[in-house]
Amino acid sequence: MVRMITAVLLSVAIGAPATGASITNKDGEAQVVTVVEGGTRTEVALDAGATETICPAGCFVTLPNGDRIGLQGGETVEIKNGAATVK
Amino acid sequence: MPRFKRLFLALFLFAALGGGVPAIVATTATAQNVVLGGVDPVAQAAEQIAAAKRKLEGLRDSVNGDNDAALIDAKVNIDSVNSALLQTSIALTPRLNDVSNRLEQLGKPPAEGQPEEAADVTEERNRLTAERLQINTLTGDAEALSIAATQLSNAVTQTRRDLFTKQLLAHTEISQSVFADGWTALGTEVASFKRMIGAWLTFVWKYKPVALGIAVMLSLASALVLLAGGYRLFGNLIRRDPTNAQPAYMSRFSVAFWSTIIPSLALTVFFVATFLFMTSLNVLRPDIAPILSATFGFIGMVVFVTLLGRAVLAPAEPSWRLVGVSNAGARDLTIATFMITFVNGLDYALGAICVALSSPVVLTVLKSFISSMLVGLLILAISFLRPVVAADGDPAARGRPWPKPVSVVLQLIGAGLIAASIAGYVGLSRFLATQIVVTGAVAVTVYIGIRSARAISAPNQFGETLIGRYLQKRFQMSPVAIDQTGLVASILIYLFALSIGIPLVLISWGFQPRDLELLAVRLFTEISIGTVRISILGILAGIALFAFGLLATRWFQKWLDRNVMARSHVDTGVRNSVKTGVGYLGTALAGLIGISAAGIDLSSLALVAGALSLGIGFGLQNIVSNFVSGLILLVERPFKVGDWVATGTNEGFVRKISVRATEIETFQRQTIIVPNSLLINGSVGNWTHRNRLGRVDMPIAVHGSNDPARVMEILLSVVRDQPNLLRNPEPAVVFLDFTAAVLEFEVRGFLADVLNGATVRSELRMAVFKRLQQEGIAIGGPAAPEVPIKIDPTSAALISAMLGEARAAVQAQGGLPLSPSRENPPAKSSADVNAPFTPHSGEAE
Repeated sequence: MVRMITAVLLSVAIGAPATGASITNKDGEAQVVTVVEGGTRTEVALDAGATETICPAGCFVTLPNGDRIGLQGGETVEIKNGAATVK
Repeated sequence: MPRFKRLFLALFLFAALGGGVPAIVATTATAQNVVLGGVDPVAQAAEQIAAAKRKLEGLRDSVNGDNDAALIDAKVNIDSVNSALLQTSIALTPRLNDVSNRLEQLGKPPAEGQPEEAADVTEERNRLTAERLQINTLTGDAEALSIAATQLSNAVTQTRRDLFTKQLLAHTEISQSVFADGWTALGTEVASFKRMIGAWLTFVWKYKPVALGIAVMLSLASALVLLAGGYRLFGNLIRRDPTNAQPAYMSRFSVAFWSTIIPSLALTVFFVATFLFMTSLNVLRPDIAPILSATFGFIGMVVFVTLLGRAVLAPAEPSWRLVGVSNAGARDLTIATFMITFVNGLDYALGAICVALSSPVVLTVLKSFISSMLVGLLILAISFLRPVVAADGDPAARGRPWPKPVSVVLQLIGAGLIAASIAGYVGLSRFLATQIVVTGAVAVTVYIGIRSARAISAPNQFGETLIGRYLQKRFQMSPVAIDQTGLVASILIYLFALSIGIPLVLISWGFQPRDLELLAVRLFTEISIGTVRISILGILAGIALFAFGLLATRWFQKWLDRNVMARSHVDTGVRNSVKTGVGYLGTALAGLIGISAAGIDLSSLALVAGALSLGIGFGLQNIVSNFVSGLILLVERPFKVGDWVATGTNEGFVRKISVRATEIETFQRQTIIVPNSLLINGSVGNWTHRNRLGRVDMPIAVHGSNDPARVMEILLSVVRDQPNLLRNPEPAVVFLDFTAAVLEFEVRGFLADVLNGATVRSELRMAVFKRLQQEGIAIGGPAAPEVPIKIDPTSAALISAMLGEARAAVQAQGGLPLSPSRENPPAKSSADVNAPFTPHSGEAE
């Protein structure tokens, strides 16, 4: 009985943190990205090595090197030398 | 167990797949985008963006509309354009990735003075850079369009809001003329209504009698089937047993629930079926159809609310009531709710008729005015009732009034409605009246849900319900476990009731479902308080993972113990140590996984811990010392579980070695819990460390007059013949000490099992004692010691003479009585005549 409950909870736990896209700054210094979400433009500062979770509902992101990408939620973005790779 | 394993594996695979499937879909989509050479993603995106721009321009004009429905449509369109723009940009991302990677591979252009690179490399680089610029520009356009679309959408929402407010706060003068106008208009409208219905009926009767007949018959048939079938199937769920004087809350609740749902469902199905039959048989006219649907809705609503009220209040059966109201209160409340719903529903039905007839506005105003006045008066009347059951619980007695806050609120609402109507803000009062009824209905339902949750959590109640009994049978749960499950079930019901009720109320007050959804998601994944971010889902996930980690550890421990160590015939002590060690390791790992899954940042805790570390360190000194000693005990194993140890003052068998202390059971069955640091820091004697050999030392003392050699011989022969002592090493007898009174020997023998020591010792003593007796060895001296006394010769002569005289006297009298008695007192004279008789040493007896 207990096992069944833990099995159910485990499957929920696996799927739980799947909202929002995460951006990781793999550079040595802080980077600033501009996020346009739902019509509002905000700047998000990422410290060196820091990871932030942004836009659960989709947004446009402008990266430090001028590239622009659209995010839906659930992607992992890594910033290296100002350029980003989306996984 | 096997079934659980399969189920669990299935769930795990499903979850993993669930994460993997979107990835697979995405990669195939990406591959398509790149591989299909004919479809250039960039060109496609450019097209889509241009189309979106055109569409947005078209929608721009519709923002300033007047029609609420058109505005809603416009907003939906704008939102779809917005999400399409986002999708377009997302589709461009993989292309951008490829371009960036390729550019990186190509490297930077050569600086001034460096050798030139190949022409096609330069050309490719330029091409790719241009493409990258194009992609960025397109995404920038999409971004700008998205911002414009969001602004437009917000503008639509604002327009709708303004429209609504204008309608709500529309002011109409309520005066004599208005009533007069309304009266005449009413006359006209009633006449035209009668004409319309008459025309329709004659039309149908003349041209479609068959169709009408079929429709009516089918509807009646379906109604009868539903009713009969419903009562046959669910009759026992609906029936209230009149003989049951104290039905359980759950039974009351389930009866109330089913007796509301089933007839309402049947009626709903009947109405829907009738409407569908009539529409498909083309019996209805376009202007009659909304009137009919409004009437059906009105009847259905009234029936449902009345059934609900009667189910909850049960005016005729006080013991089946779900809330604590008196009989009179139940009756009054049922009537009042029926009337309020009737008035509201009639208002809406009449409103639909007015729209169909295109009646003048004054009629609508009057209708709303009258209905909101009536509702306000009814609410005022309710506030003055005395429905709460009397203090002694007797429902037949006169009830108590509402609690003060409730009655005040009801009075305010009622007065407010009446005041708003009279002041002319008819739209406002109409809106308020509807909202009150809906919110009230939802609130009552949520209240019932919470009451039933509380009823389930009462002791021993869950086991009585259907689900409780099923769980008990299926999983063989103990009453305590069922009770705890009942508690969990009641919490789930609370959450369920609130999570359904609150959004319903919010939606009825005008919140958008999408907004509520976003709010709920944000609530669960991210609550920021300052710079601290808490995610409820994350915490739950962390707890679940920790619990699972613990279970996995326990399972692994059992598996290791049973399958690996038991089969290898490992020593019990070692098994215990390994099991405990694996347990600690597993718990620590599970804790780490849980904490990291919960997203708790430990670095901030580390700062605080650093500051307090000195104090904590001093305080926990002993505990940590015990813990480390426990680990050393497990690894080094100076003693195992079951050994006979002697520490300082305590001696006994080791029963359990745990983290902080070891349990030692003494021979008197007292358990002494010794901290591990004592066992490591002090010396511990272990009788059964390597083997169970032990030496028995028995001191024997015999009287000093014996011959020691002979005694030793005897003792040796006894001990050599003793059955329980080992022959190798040989038993020995040692002459320890001698004094004037005693000779001390010690008998030393070796035992195979030192735990038999006490028995062997007592048997040995018995054997020695018997043998010594047999041999006539004196263990102690004679019964009475002999004491020498010194007397000088004169006194000796006198005493001899005295004794001689006495002897002669006795012989002469032929035997005096041996002991002196009262008739024959001892001859005192001889005692007085005696010269002083001074013994020099010792004492006379």
